[in-house]
Amino acid sequence: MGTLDRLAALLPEEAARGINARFGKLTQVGLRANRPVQLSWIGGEALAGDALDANKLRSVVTALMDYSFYAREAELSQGFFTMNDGCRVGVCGRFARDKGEWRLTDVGSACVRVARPVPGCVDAIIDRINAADGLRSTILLSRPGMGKTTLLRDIARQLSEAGRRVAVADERHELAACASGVPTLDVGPRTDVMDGCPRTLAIPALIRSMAPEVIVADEIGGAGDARALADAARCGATVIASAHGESVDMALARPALRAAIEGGAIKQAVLLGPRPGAIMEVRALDEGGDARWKYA
Amino acid sequence: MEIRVALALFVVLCGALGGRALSDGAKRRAEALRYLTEATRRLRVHMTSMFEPVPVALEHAGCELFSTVAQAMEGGVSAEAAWERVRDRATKRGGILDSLTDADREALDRMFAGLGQTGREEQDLLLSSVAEALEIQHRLAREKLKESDKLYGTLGLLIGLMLALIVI
Repeated sequence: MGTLDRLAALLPEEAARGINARFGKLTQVGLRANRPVQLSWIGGEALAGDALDANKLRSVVTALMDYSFYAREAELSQGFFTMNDGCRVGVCGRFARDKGEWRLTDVGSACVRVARPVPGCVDAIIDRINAADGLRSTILLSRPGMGKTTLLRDIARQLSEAGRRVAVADERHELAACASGVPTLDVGPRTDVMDGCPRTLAIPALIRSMAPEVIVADEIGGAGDARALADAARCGATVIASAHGESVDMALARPALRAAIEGGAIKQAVLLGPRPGAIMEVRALDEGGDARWKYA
Repeated sequence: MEIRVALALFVVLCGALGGRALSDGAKRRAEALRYLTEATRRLRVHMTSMFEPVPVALEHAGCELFSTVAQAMEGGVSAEAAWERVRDRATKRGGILDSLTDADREALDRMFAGLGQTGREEQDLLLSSVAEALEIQHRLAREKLKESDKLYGTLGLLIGLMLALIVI
């Protein structure tokens, strides 16, 4: 049973009807205490049903966690947990510090981001990544919600199907949506996934143990990520990553991304937007950074 | 006279079998408690070391009863509610828990009431204390089994003989 099915089964009837009516196109479901359920899809949104009381919200979130708070504790301290099918549930509410760790104590709202594989969504640019003269390290840049993870997953799948050994550092379980270490989403036949492990540990471990040609990592941002990616590139692996950033200039303003790009770990950037899944431009970052290919 | 002797022999046999049945109940209880103690220890490993969600950990604990609870959790049911559904069936005659005492079942009630509700450390403490409680109950059950094995067997035979004498 997928996350949306589970959500529909857990929510009051009218909200469930709203979910079922737009099942195939929902991108996000917002749950807030004492507010109706917010349904979002590309190009629209609506409020569904009566206000959700705080107890109901808590019981829905707990049920989505499979009543397994202990298993989600580390993720929850970062404000989210990921479902088995790759859907990410962001949680807000009251946090308290306990033994040096931040712990969620009360849930005030939750946001379910629907993960939906879109095979072929990178067809337009795959030849720029798997180029005739070899693989090119690439970073996908966009603001949140533009489909970076979906594109990254399809790049991993297509490179893997093209015969490349791909290794995925899936810290947040969103790329491959592993269940007990086994991918539930298609990331290709030659792909190994290190699930739930911090990227700074996963990337060097994958290089050492799996001898990948391609390293895939989602939402890089810290200095440790940049160092790990630069090191992977120096070891001969091609880096495919994503990061928040509305433009290359904005990405370069983030020290970690600047280090990764200037360190030679990234050769080109793919800019996404203005709507989810739309590819705007591929820009070369090496050799002066002048080459650009417009898509939208 | 032959009928009386046959009836007396039948009564002796019934007494002996009755005694054995009582001692079998104690044996089943000890075995069930050992089985549940080991399953609880495995459950603890799957939950607190492997971080498996409750239904998956229950399935992987290698215990039919826990698997049944995991199946009852399908569709968003909590472990406590699922346990309440399963417990009634399991404690009926012929069920896996039919030989357990209230004190034995109380440890399981406590475990399922708190399963998955707290952080790793608290879950570790809960499962350790439940496994310990079940182990203590198992030790007591084995001691009782040693006594009851002899007692009920002999008692059953003696009662049978007594009734046989009355019959003759």
